[in-house]
Amino acid sequence: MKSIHFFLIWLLVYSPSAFAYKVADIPGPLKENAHAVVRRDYTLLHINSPSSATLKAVFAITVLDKKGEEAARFSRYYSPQQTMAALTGKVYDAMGVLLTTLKMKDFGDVSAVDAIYSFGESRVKFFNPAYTNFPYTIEFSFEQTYNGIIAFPNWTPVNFDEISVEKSEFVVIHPKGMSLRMRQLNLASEAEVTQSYQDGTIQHRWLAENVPAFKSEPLSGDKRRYLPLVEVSPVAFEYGKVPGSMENWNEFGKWIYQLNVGRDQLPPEAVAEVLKLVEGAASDEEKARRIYAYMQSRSRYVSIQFGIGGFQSFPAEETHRLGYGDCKALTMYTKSLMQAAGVDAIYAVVYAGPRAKFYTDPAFPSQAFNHVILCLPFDGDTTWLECTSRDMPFGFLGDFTDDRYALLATENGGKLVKTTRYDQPDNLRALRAEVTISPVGAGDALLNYHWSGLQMDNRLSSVWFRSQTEHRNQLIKSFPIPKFELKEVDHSIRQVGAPALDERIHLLLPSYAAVTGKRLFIPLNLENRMTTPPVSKDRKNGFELAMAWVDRDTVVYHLPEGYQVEAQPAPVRIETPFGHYSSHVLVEGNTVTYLREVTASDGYFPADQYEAFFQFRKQMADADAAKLVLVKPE
Amino acid sequence: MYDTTLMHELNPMCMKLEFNRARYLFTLALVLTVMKTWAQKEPMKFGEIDAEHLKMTSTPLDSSADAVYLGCYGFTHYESRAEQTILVTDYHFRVKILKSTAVDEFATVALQEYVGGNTTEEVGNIKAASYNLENGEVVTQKMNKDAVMEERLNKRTNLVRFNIPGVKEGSVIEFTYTLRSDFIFSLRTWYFQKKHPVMASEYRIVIPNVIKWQYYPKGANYPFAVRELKTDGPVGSLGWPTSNGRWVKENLEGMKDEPFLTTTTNYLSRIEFDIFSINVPGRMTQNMSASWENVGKRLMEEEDFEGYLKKCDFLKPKVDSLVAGLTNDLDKAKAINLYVQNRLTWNEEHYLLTKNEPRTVWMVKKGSAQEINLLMCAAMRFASLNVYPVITSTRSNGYFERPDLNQADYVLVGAVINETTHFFDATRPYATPGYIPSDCVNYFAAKYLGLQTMPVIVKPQPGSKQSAFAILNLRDDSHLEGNITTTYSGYLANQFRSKMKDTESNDRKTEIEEELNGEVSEYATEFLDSLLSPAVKEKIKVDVSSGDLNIVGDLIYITPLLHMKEAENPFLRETRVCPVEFPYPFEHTATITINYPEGFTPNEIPKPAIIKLPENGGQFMYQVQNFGNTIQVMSSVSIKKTDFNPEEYTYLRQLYDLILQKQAEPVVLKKS
Repeated sequence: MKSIHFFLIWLLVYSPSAFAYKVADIPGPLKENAHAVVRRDYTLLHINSPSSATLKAVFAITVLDKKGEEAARFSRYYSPQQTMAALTGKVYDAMGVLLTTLKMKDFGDVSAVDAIYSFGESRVKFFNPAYTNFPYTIEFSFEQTYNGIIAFPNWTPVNFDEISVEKSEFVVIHPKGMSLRMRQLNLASEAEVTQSYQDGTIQHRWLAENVPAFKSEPLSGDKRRYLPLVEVSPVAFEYGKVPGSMENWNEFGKWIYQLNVGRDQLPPEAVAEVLKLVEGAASDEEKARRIYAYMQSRSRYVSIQFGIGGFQSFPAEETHRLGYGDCKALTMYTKSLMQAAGVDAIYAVVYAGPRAKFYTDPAFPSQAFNHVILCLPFDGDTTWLECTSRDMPFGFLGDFTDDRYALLATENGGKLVKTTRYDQPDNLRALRAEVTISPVGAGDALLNYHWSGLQMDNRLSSVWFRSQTEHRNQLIKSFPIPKFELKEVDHSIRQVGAPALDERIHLLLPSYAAVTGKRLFIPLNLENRMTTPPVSKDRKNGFELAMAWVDRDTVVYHLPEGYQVEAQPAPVRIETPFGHYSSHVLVEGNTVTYLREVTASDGYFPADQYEAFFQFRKQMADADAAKLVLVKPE
Repeated sequence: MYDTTLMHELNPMCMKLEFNRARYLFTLALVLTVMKTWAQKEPMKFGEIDAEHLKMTSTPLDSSADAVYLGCYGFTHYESRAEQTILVTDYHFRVKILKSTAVDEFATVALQEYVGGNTTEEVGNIKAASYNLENGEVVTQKMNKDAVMEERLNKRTNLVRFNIPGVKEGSVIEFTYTLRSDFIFSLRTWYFQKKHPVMASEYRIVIPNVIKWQYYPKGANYPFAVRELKTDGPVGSLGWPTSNGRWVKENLEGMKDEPFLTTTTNYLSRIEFDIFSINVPGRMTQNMSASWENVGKRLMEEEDFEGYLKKCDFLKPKVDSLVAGLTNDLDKAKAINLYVQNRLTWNEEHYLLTKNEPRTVWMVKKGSAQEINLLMCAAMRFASLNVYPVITSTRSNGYFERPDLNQADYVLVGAVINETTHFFDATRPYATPGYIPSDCVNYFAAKYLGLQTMPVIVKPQPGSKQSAFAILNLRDDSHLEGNITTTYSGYLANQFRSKMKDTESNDRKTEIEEELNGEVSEYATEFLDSLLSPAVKEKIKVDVSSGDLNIVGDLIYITPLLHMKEAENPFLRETRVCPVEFPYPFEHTATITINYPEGFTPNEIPKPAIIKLPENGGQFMYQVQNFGNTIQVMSSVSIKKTDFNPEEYTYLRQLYDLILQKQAEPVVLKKS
């Protein structure tokens, strides 16, 4: 049984002579393909009680060339809940000779507000090294104090492409008898656990050593799939002076519920307005639709983060009055409106983000959330509402919060429930177009689109957030056709059943077909050409196709008089595990119909299949470039 | 609200203002204090909303606008505070939200205050409200005072923000605030025109007559509805007579951003101000910077300018060794430029102020544009070159037309060598000496020659060319393969080298493969790091089997320009409000030879085309010829002048249409 007195570690860490950071000491393999080498990354999380902890860290990195500079940038959030107690830096030359010392005041200090619509008290201390004598080593030491705990930072020893790691250590110390939840991903060895002779505290230590530089590969998905990670979460905790437990989801859900209890009260005039609004509605769903539209018409999203307000909603009354709020306030407000009309609605926390589907793990109860949505538990048809958007169709989540666990915060505690999943047939893009080609190669095109599921998601943002003129300009950019003139753009969002977007676009394409003396060359695929994915040779990790989808294009070309088809592409049919592709052309008199269908699968595929996937996309790209050749008989 | 013109009013390129102002603060204390007076009633009163504005659903100024300014009002005057004179401006804005897309932009208002140093700005008296029509009733919601949040954004700037409650589609919103500033000679530009249409905009000013000042109407030519300037008698016991100005414009369209434009700010309808001098009888006379001579005089006295140049003696031995053996002055200048740009890294800052002493900058090898270029200027003087600092404004900062240092934000080096003027800059590590950053080629500039300081024009250098030379062979097995060498020169060489600085050649190869829809089997560059070489070359070996090469039956269609085609028509919009301003003239040429095997005959060859823009503004030439078993293609696009007025826009757009059309025409070969 090995037992280290961990005060010894402190001595080592804080004694400057112990680490000279000579560049010559870096093992050869760590310099390969590396722009910088993390010499020492030491994080000590010392938990004293459910509401107090300190985090001490030393981070030293040798920057070998200009491209390694980014990894040597320091940036750390702080707030009244997590103060910055100490912060220093040291710069060494290649020989390990100390060049400069940085004090707290040498670090930049800016508000963490990243958008004009966000309000909060978080700030960032930062330092961007810009020394020009490579290689050099920079070491940062800082200490943060927790005033209230709800979550701890993850340990991720490998963070950047083309940066190697000599040594990275994560140490967690907690009082004996205090339970913590911990787990590790993609790490070969388990934590070393020791107990202090002095005070009986328990220490867990993880170590990553001599990790060569890696380069991330295209489509490799979230880094949690392949990079080491240790997560630590409190079980008993206290935040904003409110104690709680993450023993299980039920307990944590209860804490959230309690924080927000009574915040769903509306002023009487608002209740009266809601009752008037839902008069004559045949079902709860109809009531909910009307209320959602009402909320959307009078509210806007503003991000607000202050202290416990990170978890506590503004009272619904206030949101009603102000007409703005953050995700908590707007969800609470919508919940209160629903309740006023007798519609059941539950406040639900979720981790939002297109790549964050797995961040909430049923087996790891923790503060794994960053967003709030509303759950309407209709019989056999649970409906979810995103309350921060003025334009989202009723019951649509999109890839921001789809297909993941959300925690319902109810009177009886928390319950983990999966949100809506969009399957292949849901994620549809269908185009039916008619294009009349003139003898000089101009096209007059009428396009009818139908979008649903996640394919609608992207399209919606271009329809919404712009004025009509800007929407037209955006379309002009998104079409891969060199030049055209938009005559008419129109769209409608289907409000019955599953949401869908229909778009109608009238275009003039003055030089759609290339014309030579006697021939016309008509590109058959109007505006939906496949591109090839990035080349990725000698792949190490698997690849992720995040969304399954279907594209159906039918383009009817009306040909000018006097031409006949000289050449047309043969039908193409490709079947692979990644999806199917088919395209073919039907010629009937002066009408040519181009039919194309792609069904793409989602999933995580092994590295050795990437080449096959690349070839599939390449074959599609080639087939999509096909042209119809018309000739005028002499 | 994040309207750039509003932010501009509140974001006065802080450091350079201090540079201009600080030292005059105390001498003028007390002297200027006047009461604010204006006989005319204010154009808008907070809370008095026209019911028609609540009912309106669109504006005739732009049927697609999502918001319209119903009124903008500003009033600038002097006040005294704690024995000092301050400049006070009251602002009042009223906006109609026509569509929900404008809600976010207008309901959160962000204002900036400059707070570094002894001279500061302060935003105060903020009031805001929204008005909505609900069931025929006007519902007013006033913002609570505690909704205003102020925070430190960085060392010099505070951000003051507030959310106006109850804003939705159809709302009328308004807000007022007062900006108190210690920068008493900095009269901000008033923008009548903004990104969104403006129904009425009024600006007033009361200035004591001891200050000599001038105003300049600028930008889009909307007529003044009111334009008056009159003198009032002294007010109060300490006061002076004042000149009172009032300007009103009505019904201005919104100004949208357009490609190939310096900045919309250059074209917004506005008035700018200049203060020439202050003359208090019996007490003092002080000339301000409103003449080139005064600009020169100010810079002569300035530690950060003339003073800076004098502290560079330590460079002399280095310069002597650098130019040893060189006889040509231009070669000497280039050698020094290259040396300075290799040694010093630019910190991306470029205001008219130096932070570090010359020796410090030289030792830490990092500095601002002004620090780096003043060092280079001093170094060139040691080589007995006829050089001087050149003060200018970057394209995105607008034109530097008048002797107002507030409008300048960049320092270059000018040199007269063999009776030709050259400009140098040492901030970009990839640039060929003599080709200054294109963002600094902004026409108006001043050469600093002490009291003889005078305007100078900075025009782009000629010689920016991208020429591709390809020899391709059509193989029997339906491949087109061969070598392509592309030569980039002038600003296009800078652009290419800048890009390659951050791009691995493998990534560049992949990028070409995507454009080409084919394979690049070999990739190499030449002269990438030889910055004195006039051109950089990129050599690739390609293999194309689809896309631009189609084989159907016994016919082969080849679009011969491959990835050397113009990618797109940059001028998508049908009309243009502002002129087109290319940063420099340029030429793109491609010469392609395609050898094809025996057994094929040319079936169709695209016809030649030549199109010229009026006044020799540019041209396109395209020619395809067949000689034996070889097809020769020549394509040349050249833009010879940089500025095209909106009337010429159609020609430019048509030129690009024709280019794209011709370059897409295939050559047809037939198997015999």
